[in-house]
Amino acid sequence: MKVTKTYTIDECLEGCKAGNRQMQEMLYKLTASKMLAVCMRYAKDRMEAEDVLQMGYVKIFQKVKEYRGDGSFEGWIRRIMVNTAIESYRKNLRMLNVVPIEDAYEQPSANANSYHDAFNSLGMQDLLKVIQKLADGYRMVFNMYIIEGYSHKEIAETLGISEGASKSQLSRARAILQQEIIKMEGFGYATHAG
Amino acid sequence: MQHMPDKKFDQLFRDKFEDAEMEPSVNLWANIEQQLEPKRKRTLPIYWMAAASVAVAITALLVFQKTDKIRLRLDQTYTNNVKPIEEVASYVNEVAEQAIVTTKATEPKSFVAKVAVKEVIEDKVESLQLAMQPIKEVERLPIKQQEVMPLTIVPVKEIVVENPIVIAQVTPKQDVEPTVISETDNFSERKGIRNVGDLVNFVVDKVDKRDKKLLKFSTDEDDNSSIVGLNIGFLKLNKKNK
Repeated sequence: MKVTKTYTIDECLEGCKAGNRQMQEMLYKLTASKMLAVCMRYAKDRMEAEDVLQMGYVKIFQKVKEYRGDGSFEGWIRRIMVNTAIESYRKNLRMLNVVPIEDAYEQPSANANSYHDAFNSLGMQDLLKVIQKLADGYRMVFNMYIIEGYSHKEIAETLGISEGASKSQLSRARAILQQEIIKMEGFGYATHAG
Repeated sequence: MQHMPDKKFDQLFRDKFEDAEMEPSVNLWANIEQQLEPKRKRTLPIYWMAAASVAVAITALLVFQKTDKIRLRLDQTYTNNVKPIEEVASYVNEVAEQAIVTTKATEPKSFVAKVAVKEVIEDKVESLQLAMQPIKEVERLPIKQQEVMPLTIVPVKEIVVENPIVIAQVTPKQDVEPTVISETDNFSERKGIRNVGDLVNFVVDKVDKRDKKLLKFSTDEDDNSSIVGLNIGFLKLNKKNK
């Protein structure tokens, strides 16, 4: 192996600013798996996620000179990745899916503890599957609000929807996810038992 | 049977995805690298363009220098025409005789004039010298020559004053001949490069040994030139050369 020394993300910054290909690759190796997990939340499937990941890194290397050091470098990379994902969603904007009638859930019948158990028993991959099953609009609002911490106002502006729509889509998304998690957990136990 | 508080639900999700990692496909970096690569390749033609524009600038510079030189030479031939007149004024006797000889050789028309001239020179050298002065100024006007020519036929002494003009105008003719030669020299020299197009072709030919040149002009006698060939890496233009 040619690369003997491993750098930290911040140590890659200068090399990336200078356009050093080896440093760019180093930064990619250090951050790509985390960033793919980010992209996976926004995308419908792995292929779409990797497309976004690729676009995101190209953008990162092109814009790295603009990074002024406010906030962590990794945080900056992550922001670019999220923006790329949102941009990609907006570009091939599929109609915000109206929830089909059969998806109009009743309130899930479980208590807080059982949710907690469910979360513990379910892996990240399982949760990802549930998120990816969400309608595109729901998934966007869910990711932006719950994981990335955008406000409803910001979401409304970015996605071009009303604040009210953002709020209602979020609660819808929550409800669906809770339902799905219960289902999955039950299924998980069933397979384990049987 | 209670609903999980939203905040708690959200927090659980956040925790799960906080440090989530997924290994991307192996070839993904290669794809990114490939997408970054063309940027470098694209800069190459820009250097070519820069080089081409520099070449054009240099040729343009050369062209202007060339035309300047030609102008200078023309000025020199003018001064050549004037100088001999001064010489004539100082060595009147010798020059006058010489002039007569040359008029014999070159122009039979002024044959009558020369006789009168010879007489005058013996008598009034000083007046001749005086007469020479204005001629310098008049000399440039070709119309004056024509005016003078018929007058030379009148032999009388009073009009003699104007006869020196003949001398003055004959002697320059000696010098005119060399200037004519130099002009033809000039012309033959410029036959290779007649205009800007020719010059550009010449320079490009020296620099660019390829079959399809960086830049090629078609030229004609009327100083019209137009691009017929262009080869700047990505861009190639080739009209049939005539």
